[in-house]
Amino acid sequence: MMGLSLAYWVVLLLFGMGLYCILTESNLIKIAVGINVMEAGLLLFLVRLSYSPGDLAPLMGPTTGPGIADPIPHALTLTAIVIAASTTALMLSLIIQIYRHYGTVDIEEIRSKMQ
Amino acid sequence: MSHLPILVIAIPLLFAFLIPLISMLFPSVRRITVTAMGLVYAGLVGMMIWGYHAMGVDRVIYPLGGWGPDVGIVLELDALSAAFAGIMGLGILLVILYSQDYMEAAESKYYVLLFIVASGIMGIILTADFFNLYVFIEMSAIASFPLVAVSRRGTALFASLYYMVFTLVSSALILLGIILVYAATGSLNMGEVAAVFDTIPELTRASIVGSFVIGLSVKVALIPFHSWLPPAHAEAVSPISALLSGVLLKNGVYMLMRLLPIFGFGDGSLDVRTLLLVIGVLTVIGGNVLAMGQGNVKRILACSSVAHMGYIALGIGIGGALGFAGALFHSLNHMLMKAGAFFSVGCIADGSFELSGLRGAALRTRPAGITFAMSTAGLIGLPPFGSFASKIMIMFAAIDAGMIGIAAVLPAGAVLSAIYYGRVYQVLYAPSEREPDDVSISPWQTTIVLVVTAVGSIATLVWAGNLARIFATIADYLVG
Repeated sequence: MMGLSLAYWVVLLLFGMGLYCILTESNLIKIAVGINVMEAGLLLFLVRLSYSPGDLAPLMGPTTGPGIADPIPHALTLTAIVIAASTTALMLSLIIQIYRHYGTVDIEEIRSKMQ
Repeated sequence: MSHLPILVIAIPLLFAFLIPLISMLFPSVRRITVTAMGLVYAGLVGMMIWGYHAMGVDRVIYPLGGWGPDVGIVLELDALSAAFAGIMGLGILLVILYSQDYMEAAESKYYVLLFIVASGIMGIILTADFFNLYVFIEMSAIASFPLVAVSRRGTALFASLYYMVFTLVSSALILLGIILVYAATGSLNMGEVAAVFDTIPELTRASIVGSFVIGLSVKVALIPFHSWLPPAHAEAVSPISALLSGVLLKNGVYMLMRLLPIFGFGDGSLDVRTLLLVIGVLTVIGGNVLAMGQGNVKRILACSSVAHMGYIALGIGIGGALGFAGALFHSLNHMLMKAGAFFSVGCIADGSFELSGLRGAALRTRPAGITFAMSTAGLIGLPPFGSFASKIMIMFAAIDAGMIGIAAVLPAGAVLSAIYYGRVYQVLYAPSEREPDDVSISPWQTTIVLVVTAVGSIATLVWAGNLARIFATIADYLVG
């Protein structure tokens, strides 16, 4: 049972670490990293849910039924990865623009310069 | 009916990617093309709603690619989707028409993003699949982040990033809820999930409802998750402020109204209604108090959006068909009036929206000055305007349910908003020292938009009886 739930502990750890990072960090890059870590936790959760040890890949022969891994979460994960990658790209480009304006990526410093 | 449900999602997406091509090949016809595209989009949405009503059935199911709900993804059009499609379609059309004059120098990217938002919104409204919902949420949200930063000012860039971080956390929570739904039921189809939701273990049910409600509260900017809204809505250019306040906030409202009945309001595991009532009261009072401390007109309007989301949360939280119908009606009113207020303030103010620099400005702009007075009076909830009717509906729902304290929050919120809008009127309509003939008239297309929002804010009261009946039927069908 402990072995089974290890993946779930990793999911919790990643999600918690990501959220903690977003809530406490004042560096914009670290916040972007935090969001990615949190999303990675979710994706791992999604993949882990669809698999139990010994399952076969749904490629040849029967594609559903007992002993065959559920393919839907994998398709969902792939979609979620694409979305996460594009949001990260957009977020980083915004951070670059902010850096060009304020010369810093620290929230507190940006706030003080905005006054 | 035919293929309209997929067309209202696909056609704006096609338009979005045609716009750069057209403005590169024929730059002189961009303006007329974009206007025509906006009208076609609104026309398709209108035809879809008309077709739905003409069919006289409860729901229309459109299987994508001919695959049924058991294997494929289906679009579903029911009364709630039709109502929101109407509200959002009208809002998007007004934003597109208004942008033509206001954002005359905008690059074509601006319209690309606008049409992607338009497509994503219809996707959210029409899909009957949880994961598809997540994709469309992200689609409309990602396109709206750069729209906030379109002015490229430092404050706008920062507001955009701030809005983005909150929204991404909210969609991560929604995704967590969706993953839990799939793990617990093995299905992503909303109808199938609704049918088996009672059989899920109680703890899982509470986690699902909890992650959706918190995620959507961030999206709707309910206090304590509201802090992204005032900077984003105030720093964006005026048509985008109207898009965010009038249209995109209603995304979250729609999802609350769509998903909570599926989850049975979390009955027995997590009392969502009481939670929404508590958050709603906090949001109404807090949003209005926040608005009082602002010196920038757009920030005042943005904080008032927070308060109005509180009214809607109260309507949903009270439970029963009347509260739900009131919340639906208030969504329509808030779209018209907040969009009207942002449109007109964009014409009134030239560059800076600080109250101190706008003495008498509303008297010098026609018809924006008149629209601003009408929209904001409507936002307070004064009688000749529609939101008077919707607030009364929510209030009666509270009294019917025996929640006198909740009913008292609505007039209290109206009084608070009258105080800060009164302060805005004192400045904007102050007798001016400048020449009285120094009056600027808006371009005709902007004038049409301003007149539509102003007339709309009264029309919703004139037709309040009919609208209330329509919304009550929808609410009955959802929660009755």
